[in-house]
Amino acid sequence: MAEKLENREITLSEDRRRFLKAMGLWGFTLGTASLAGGFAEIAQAGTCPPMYGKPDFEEVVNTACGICMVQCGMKAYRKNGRVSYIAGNPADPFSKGHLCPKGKAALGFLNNPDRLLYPMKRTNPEDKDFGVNPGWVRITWEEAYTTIADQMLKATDNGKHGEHLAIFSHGNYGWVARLLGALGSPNQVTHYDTCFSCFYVARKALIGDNAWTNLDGVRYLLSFGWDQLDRCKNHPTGQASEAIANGAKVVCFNPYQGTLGALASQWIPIKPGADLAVALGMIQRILSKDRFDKNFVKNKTNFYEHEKDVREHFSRFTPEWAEKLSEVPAATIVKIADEFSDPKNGPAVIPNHKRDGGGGPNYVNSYQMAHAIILLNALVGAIDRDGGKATMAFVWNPGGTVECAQNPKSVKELIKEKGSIDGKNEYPLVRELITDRGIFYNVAQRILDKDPFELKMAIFRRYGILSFPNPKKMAKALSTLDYVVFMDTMPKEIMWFADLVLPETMFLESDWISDRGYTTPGYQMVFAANKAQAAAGEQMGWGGVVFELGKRIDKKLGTEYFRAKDGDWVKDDKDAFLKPIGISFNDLKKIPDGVWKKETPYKSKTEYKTPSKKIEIYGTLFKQNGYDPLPSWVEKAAKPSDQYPYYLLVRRLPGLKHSAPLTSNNPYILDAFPEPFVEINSSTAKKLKINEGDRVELKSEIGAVQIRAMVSERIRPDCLMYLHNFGHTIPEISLSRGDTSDGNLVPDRPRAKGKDMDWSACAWMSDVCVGIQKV
Amino acid sequence: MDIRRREFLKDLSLGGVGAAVLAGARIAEAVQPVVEYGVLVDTRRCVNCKACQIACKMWNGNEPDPTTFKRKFSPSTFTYVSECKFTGPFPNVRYHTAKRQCMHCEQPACVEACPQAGKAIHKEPDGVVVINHENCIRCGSCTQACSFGGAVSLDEKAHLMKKCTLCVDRIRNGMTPACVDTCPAGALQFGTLEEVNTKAKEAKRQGYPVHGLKGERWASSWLYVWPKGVENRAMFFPKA
Repeated sequence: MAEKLENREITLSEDRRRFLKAMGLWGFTLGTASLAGGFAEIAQAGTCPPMYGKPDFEEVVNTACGICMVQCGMKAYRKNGRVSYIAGNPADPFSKGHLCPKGKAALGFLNNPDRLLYPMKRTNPEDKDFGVNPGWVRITWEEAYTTIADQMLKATDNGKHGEHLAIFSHGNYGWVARLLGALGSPNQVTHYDTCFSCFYVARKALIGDNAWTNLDGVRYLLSFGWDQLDRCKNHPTGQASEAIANGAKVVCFNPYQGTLGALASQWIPIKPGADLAVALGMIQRILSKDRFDKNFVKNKTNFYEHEKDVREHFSRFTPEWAEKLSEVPAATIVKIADEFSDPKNGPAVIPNHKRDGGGGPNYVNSYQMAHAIILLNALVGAIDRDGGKATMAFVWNPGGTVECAQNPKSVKELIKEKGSIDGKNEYPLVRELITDRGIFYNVAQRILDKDPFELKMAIFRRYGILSFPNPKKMAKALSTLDYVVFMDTMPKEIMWFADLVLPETMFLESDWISDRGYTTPGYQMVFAANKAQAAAGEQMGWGGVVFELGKRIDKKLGTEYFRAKDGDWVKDDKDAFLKPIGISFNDLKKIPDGVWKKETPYKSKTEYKTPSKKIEIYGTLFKQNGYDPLPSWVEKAAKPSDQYPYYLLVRRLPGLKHSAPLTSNNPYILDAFPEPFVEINSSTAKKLKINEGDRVELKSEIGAVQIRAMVSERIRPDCLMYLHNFGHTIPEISLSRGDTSDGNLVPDRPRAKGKDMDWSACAWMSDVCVGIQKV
Repeated sequence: MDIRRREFLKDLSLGGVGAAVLAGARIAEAVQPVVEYGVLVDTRRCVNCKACQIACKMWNGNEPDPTTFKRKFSPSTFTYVSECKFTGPFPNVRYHTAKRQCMHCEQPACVEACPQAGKAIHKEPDGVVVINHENCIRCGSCTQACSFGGAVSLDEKAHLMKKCTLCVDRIRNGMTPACVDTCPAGALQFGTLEEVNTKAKEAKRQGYPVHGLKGERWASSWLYVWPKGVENRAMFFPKA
């Protein structure tokens, strides 16, 4: 980064001064003092203070990080009930005691003065709009529960018209579905189409279940925009870094040289949205030269049942054809295809995660790319590989459940009956395979159009309007609803449009179980994530709120959807979840390092949950539902024009996660990543007379942002790289200020005319072109 | 424990907080340093996540500053990660990073420059360069003499000179420095100075540029390995 931008002086705003003062008063100063006291006590005991490995020490609490799904093992050091330092838990075999910047900075989230502390209701009768003070007043939880339950019953006419209610919730999917089912609502909506539903649906349809890439042992890593080094998810970052250090070859297709590109053996600045062309060219090369893993393909996939169709289908996608679309020379595509498929270079794998540049839900063709990646991995045996190394691997968790006295209609059934406010009814594979997830891309327009029905009430948990493409349209849609509830740890812009706000605990403030979700091939493992600090206010967990609302709905409607079979109201039953592995939560807590783990050699399945019971190179479910059974070329939607001449790329910095103030309003994170910028190639900058540090305006068809420019060489001249998740405008957020969210530039994609051939309903989050000018 | 060492520990400031000083002293009394320690910064593995920077702030109780990119040392920034390009133009460009902190040099220029003749800033037997605040007159000679960007900073509020202590309170009690402890990419590797030198020598044998090796001009407790083809000055190092 050049000097001008780095060394500029910024006047500390009044908001930031206030914030820092507050942090100093009850956050950092106390934290430091208690830390010192804690270690003084250890020293007084006359022993060397073991930072790790002495879990019975009263100041150390075993817990886990709840910021992302990796859920790294964590230890919270506390004094007088206040956490003062956080470190990794070395007993976690995956994070090995390390924490990424997000986890390490969790204290700045836990003790953040901007946290929501109490339930509040709106008192200002004025129309809801940006900047209109809602006139929040504190209320009790009892009033909050009663009000919300009454509003839910009112909106749905006591459950007769459940379609008027929607819950936008990340997490607790099963119980949220039950609450919606209790009122007859089909509207369970999540952000998956903006994140990775193309991968999720593809995995479910083609290999029968969700699976994540384990990079342990990889020797040839081929990336289409995947850059977990740049985002720094702890576990994949460590694995990829280890692989590079051990001499693995890394080939990185990305229009922008992120961290993986910088450390890779080969960085190829591909044209945005053209990764699919290269992938198809590689498949053609590997099939035409019979370079695939024949044993794997024969025993595990349905290739030979459809061999003629498959070979014929891909024969047209030659590397020469791919070169014209991708600007990657045919010889390079051939070379990489040959290297990737050569067992001497292996094990090889193409990792895929979420919103990967080339493969996530970024472009119109991302669904085809998701299929192509699975197909390429299948050709080299990198799916469910015995041993679980360098492969897409299936996940494990204890899976215990609570049986209820009565079950409502499922959301799936209700969608079939009534449709869905997010349009899930138009996407049979989304509806059938990932029912409890959802579609964000067009939900605002559907609410405005009352399509397929009128929505009257919505509950948002952890989603704000910046979570949606075209956030201003979402705000407009929200202003048409009768009642809006918002629950989160921190304030968000959606509060301008909410009637009631609920404060949520963060992960260090409650007991929970980490099952290490998707990252533990070779182990069965759960962590006791213990409450490390009492909530500063009256925050509650989302699961408890769902149970409480369910109980009240049951009482009113005379149903028993939230009663367990033994007659008690359901609650957060950790023992039930753990039952299959024969341990109670209390016993789990007693394990010295807080980790229950059992080494279980990863064994490949003999049968898959697909129509053919095999890994499907030829997608039977796609065919059955009227889609392409094999991936074909689909052109990217947005193309440079006179008005919007540059492709927009979005980078996620290692310290920041989504549009959530939990990281963007964290002073430690902002210490490391203080300001957003747009990165521009030096030749483009010269042409536009833009210098390092200049203030520029970026404009798309839906909005504009003003930001500083950073001139570099690591980006294609036809692209601009924007940083994700900077800036909030709601006054309750005091540190991360500014109307600079990248969401302001991302339009909500139009609905397809006729059948949408994108079976995953992707939101096309980077299929955007923008203009730039100095201001 | 000799008197001089006792005095040092009494006055050792880890972050300018009184209680922390006390804690540091008591911990350090518990275990005697026996070996020289070092850290290898393997820039070939650094992912520029800045977790080290955050860990340093948290362990030392330094207030975060959310207003500026960290490109120089300050009383609250003992370490930071710089990003710099080393080849270009597009597309033949590669970026890399360089973590910066007090190098804890074998022959520290700061110690030589100190008018208190080793009674203020000085080098401990385990290689750690620390400041005895009782004798420090805060003249800034150490900062000016530093060949690595002035790693010692004056905290005007606390009237103390501050810098990286190599987490002396942690390493003398069997722990790794806070930055090393958190590094998710394995780019920071802690060990005895001998172990760290062995790793760096092996990298040098493979043709990688190395800085801080024992026996060389800039020998220090912090050693660096970085990608081939990158000049010393791109890593902010003086010529070997």
